[in-house]
Amino acid sequence: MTDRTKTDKPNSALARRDLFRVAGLGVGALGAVAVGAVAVTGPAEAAPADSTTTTGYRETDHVRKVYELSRF
Amino acid sequence: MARMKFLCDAERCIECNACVTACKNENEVPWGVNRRRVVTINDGKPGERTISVACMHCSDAPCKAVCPVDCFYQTDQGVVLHNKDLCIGCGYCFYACPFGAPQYPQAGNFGTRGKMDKCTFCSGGPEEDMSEAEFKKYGRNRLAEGKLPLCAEMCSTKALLAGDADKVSDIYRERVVARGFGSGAWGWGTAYQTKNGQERDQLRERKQGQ
Repeated sequence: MTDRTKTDKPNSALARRDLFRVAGLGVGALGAVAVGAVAVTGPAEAAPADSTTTTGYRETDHVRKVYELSRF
Repeated sequence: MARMKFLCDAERCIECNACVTACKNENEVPWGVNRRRVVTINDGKPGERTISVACMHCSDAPCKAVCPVDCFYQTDQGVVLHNKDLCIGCGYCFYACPFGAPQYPQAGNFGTRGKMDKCTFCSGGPEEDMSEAEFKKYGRNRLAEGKLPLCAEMCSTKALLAGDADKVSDIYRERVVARGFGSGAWGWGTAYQTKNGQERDQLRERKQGQ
């Protein structure tokens, strides 16, 4: 009378075992988005546009961050 | 024009030697040479302090003054560098330096003379920036990468400061005001001031202006 095995919700859109497949696709999509974002924005420590003309010291974001961290 | 300077805050240095290790690793410094060392002053006495010492890139560098082949030069930003292709290994700079910065690689028990090695403020040498030849002779060129010397960047307590003299001295001044003591920036008098206490950089600029 309380037997709820295979016949219970036979047409469910997301079956129990499909969960892993869907989750895998989701992770893959997230990875692709992340790679795309890095390709668009570039590394965080990139030098400013004038790096080709100036090779010595210059105040990049990286250098400014070091100064900021030293003020504690 | 920014002037590059080191400043070691003796009140903050905890003698962890991370700066020494970072320098050695980043620049692949040869055996027998430590471009940076941590030194204890007043060892075992009241007021004992430790300081991180390397080439201070003096305004009027004595190593540059005594070199018989004139292999030292100073960049526009005040970094004292040398040309290993010109160096003859006479050792005069070692004796002239008040900080013991220039050193020779020591591969055996009796030492081997060759080209002098010293801190480059992580800015390479006369070779092309970030080239393989520059790295092999002088180490990493972090200034060209838009960064600061790794010893200072790695310092966990930020006792070691490096960079534009104005910025570095501002940071140190804020600390001295906050704690109310300790205005002696170790080595600055020797490296950057005359005996009268005048700034060598200002004197030089004044001379150039005349």
